[in-house]
Amino acid sequence: MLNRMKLRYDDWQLRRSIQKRLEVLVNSITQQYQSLKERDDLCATVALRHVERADRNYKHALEHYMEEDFDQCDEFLEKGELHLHFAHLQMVPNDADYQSDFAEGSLYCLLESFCEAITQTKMAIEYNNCVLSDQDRKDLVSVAVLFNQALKAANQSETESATSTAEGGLLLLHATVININVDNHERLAEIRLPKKAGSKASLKAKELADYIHDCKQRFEVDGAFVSETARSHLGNAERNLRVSIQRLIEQDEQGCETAASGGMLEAKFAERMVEKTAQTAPIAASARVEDFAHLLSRLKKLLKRTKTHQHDSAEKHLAACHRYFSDAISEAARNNLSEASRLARAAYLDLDFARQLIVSKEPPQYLDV
Amino acid sequence: MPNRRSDKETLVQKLAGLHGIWSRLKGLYDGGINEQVDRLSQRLKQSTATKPELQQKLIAAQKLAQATTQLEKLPQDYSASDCVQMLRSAMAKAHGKKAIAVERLAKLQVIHAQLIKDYETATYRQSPVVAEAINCASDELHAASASLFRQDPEDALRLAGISWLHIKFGRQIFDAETIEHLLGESDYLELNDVQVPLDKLIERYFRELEAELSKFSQALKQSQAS
Repeated sequence: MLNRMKLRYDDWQLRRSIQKRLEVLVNSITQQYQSLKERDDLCATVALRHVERADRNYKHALEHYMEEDFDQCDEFLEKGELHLHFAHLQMVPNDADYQSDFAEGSLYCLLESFCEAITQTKMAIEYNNCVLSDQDRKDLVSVAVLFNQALKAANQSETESATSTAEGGLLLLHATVININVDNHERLAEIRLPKKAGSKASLKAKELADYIHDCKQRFEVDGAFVSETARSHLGNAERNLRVSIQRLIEQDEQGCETAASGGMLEAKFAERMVEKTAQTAPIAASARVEDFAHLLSRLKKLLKRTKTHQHDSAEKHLAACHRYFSDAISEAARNNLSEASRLARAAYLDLDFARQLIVSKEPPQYLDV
Repeated sequence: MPNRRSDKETLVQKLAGLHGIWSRLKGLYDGGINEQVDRLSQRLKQSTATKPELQQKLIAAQKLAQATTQLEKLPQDYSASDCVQMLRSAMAKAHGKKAIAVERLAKLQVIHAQLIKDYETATYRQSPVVAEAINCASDELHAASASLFRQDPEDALRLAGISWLHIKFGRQIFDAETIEHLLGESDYLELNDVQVPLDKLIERYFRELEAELSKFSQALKQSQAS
């Protein structure tokens, strides 16, 4: 008997508290609707969405209250109250910046550094009008993909996978920035990559990336004296770097370290070869001619696809450019440097003329370097 | 008798949901709470108690503060007073976290809306990367709100952090491209796998050839100088 009475009392108390909450909710909704009517700023728009949701939740709560389904009623009431809380916070002007407050050394801190490194690299490339190779472009796209993958893994609470993906992405970005710096003869000072890499394996891979950077700079200084074999060893080192980054992303630390060590051997070998041949070799002809021919044939193929009316004329100038360039290389190999410079200039003039034929709307003219 | 939807099974499931919230709190304290909650769930599963009794327990347990009172009423072996103490302080912490989570989410929603507005009004460029960042941030914000409704502020804060990273990424890319546009160059670096228009590609190939030639000229100058 006493138990039954207690149950009835509890039930009455529950009804009363829910009824009161419903009243408070509907009054607050009306009040907020009124104050939002007079505003048309962005905060008010966002807040209004919450008030509308609170309104919908209130209606559902009321329905369940009528059916005496107090569990569901309570659930909708809570949702409605929370939406109103959101609206209230958003209606008060607050100019303070958002503080992410990520703990130092945490995954989220690493992800934030990754985010900043990508955007700073993009800005630096755009503002400096850097020339990028196809590979660099692909790598930058891969970096952005890795950033999204890392965030996805973080969302799934896969902390290890997110960390290794972010570290791998940062390393790939680091290696790509090195390439861009060397290709554009400048240091993109705006780029700041986190100095503190995580695991031992990722440190090794970073060390390799830095070593390749030094090698490339050395190759640039020695310019034409770099033999094809040395270039091929440096190419192998770069391939090893890519493998080590891939292994890092796959959380294969052992594989990452092995590939980085192999890459380091190749890079050191390439550097030693440059030291040996620097004083004796003339300008290494074949590699440069091949590279240039490759770039030319790629352009010609593209021009064929576009079928512009100036196509034939442009092709003749491109052929002349190729000829002048090959001759310039041969003259340089014979140490006839002034003739080589003259021929290189002629190659440039023909290339520029072909460019004007295809790209410019003005009549083409010979413009000096 | 009022028409109550939940039967015993649903009640046990709901208590299991509460168990989840308590389990997450156990990271803050030692394993005492978890053990108590496990035993409470077991007891409920095996219980031959009638529906209204279980209903009563659930309604009380839905408010976690009320749940502590329920634990106090249980026999000695279920609710040691230190367990109740721990639950109370855990509740206080969880409540603090909830307030932080609500505040952060409210702010993020405004920042997100601002990014959408800026993106939609920018006529000069509709970067797919920014669009993707906006969509991902939107999903994360939605999931974070859902976590709050589930009374899981810890998870809401985690998801709010991820959504902030998406928003920040989108905002920085958007700002960089706006400045590039204002500088009058509009030579954007694509960070997604899109087909580059042929005319842009031709210009780029020409630039690469010129770069190759100027590299060669530089090497010649250095050789002449030495």
